[in-house]
Amino acid sequence: MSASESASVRVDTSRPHPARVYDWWLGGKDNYPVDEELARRILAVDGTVVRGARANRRFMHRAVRTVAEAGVRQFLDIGTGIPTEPNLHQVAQGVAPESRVVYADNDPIVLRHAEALLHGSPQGATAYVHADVRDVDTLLARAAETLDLSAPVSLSLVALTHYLDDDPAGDDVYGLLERYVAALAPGSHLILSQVTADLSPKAVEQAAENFRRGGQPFHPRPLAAFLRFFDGLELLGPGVIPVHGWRPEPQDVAAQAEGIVPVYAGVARKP
Amino acid sequence: MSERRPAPTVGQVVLGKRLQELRESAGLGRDEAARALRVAAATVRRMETAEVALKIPYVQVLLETYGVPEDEAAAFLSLAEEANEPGWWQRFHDVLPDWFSLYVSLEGAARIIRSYEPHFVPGLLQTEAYARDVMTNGTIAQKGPEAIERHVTLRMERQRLLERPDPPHLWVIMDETVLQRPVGDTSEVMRDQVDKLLEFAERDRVTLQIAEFAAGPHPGTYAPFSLFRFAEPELPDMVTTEYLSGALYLDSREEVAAHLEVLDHMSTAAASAERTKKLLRDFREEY
Repeated sequence: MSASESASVRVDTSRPHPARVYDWWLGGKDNYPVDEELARRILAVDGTVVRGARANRRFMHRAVRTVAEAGVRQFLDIGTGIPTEPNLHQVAQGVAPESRVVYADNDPIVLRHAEALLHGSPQGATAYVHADVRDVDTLLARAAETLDLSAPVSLSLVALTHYLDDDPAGDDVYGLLERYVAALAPGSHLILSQVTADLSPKAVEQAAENFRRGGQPFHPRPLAAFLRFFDGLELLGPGVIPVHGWRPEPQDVAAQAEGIVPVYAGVARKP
Repeated sequence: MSERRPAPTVGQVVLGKRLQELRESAGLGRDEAARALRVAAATVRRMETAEVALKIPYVQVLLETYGVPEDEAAAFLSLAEEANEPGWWQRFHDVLPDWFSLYVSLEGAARIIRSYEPHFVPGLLQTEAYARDVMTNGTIAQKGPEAIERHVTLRMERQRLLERPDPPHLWVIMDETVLQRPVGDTSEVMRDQVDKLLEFAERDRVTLQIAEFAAGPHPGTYAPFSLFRFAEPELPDMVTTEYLSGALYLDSREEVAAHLEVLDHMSTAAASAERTKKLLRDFREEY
């Protein structure tokens, strides 16, 4: 287990943090009043966010199970967030106990929660990396302490890319994903979901505006821009689709009946 | 106090609060609720604040009055019946102050216990010899050697919590003071104690972090406190903080959040669980 010492930086909790805002939407208790305030403000302008957060979690479960059932035994999850049961390693190790899982997040508090509360199966491995998604080299180097990057890896960024811009001089989200995918072996999988304004433009724009005012950049993407993340990869059926519709289970069909949530999801395989 | 009533169980505290919420969301005052029961408003208040046990027939009428759906009311009533069962620790009520009885009850009901310990090894992880020496030098000592032994026995019984098949997560941040201050007449007491900490640090459901002196001041410098989280999503976290002759129980959103934030900050500043094991081994060498 590689525990990071670099967590000991000053943490600013006077401003809302996306991981804790998300935790509030999921009904978690690891958020502070500033996070709750922003979560409520966004919920007031976009009533789908709570269902959207749950839909993202459930998509992660289905996608990870699918990839594990396809034989992948290594998982790298970036932007893990506050632990919420069931967590990714529980799904992966539920399929194959020997699965090796690395969680990466840039928030030291998230990291300490993960270290304390997430323990994998004895046959597998569960490790935590304190690194930012923008720092590809550090993140991959730390992940490689637990994962064998010459064998297939499932790389997941669930509800993360909408916090990153596509400016080549800024976050360069396309460049980032290209570098991650390039570092992975053939047979690796990419699991992605992110917010779009295609389905309910007004509500999503207002939600985005609230995030921005809270100091958090936010970038909903249209279908074509989301599809671009999977360039050069083979999309698994049914392709890119609103999140509830990705290989839905009865619960997801029921959730869908409550209305669509403005999130795209997709899973692809590296040839 | 002529007749000592056992301290409330966590179930009573939590259900009392829920009863109050249901009354408020039904838009009723305590007077109106009391009228349905033909009792004084104070009786309703005492049930809501867990000063008295939940009388099942009363609860039934109240739930009906508040318009709670039948299935939800049935679930509430069965919880209320369970909550009225005395806990194992009631056997110690000769020495156990009420405030501590509630603490033990919370401890047993929690799924996650996050504690900050500025001075001593947390009770759940003390060796018997360590516990005895702490008690002998504490305020309990005035009550005589017998009381000390009863407290030591109680503390050891509390530790069975961690041997349950599905124990709670215990996540403790200890100030380095805890290891620097020798407890016991011989160095063996501290050596055994550090061994016990090392043994528990290996468990999945135990996380120990030492707040090292070298890391400078941290925001939790005053008194020991614990935050209890329960499995039921509708139950709020509770915080207890100790002072010399009692403890405070906090459950308002603001106060709980303030303690959560301090714990989170301390956990990022303190040594990681891995480094803490190394520090413990180093201390082990010194004693």
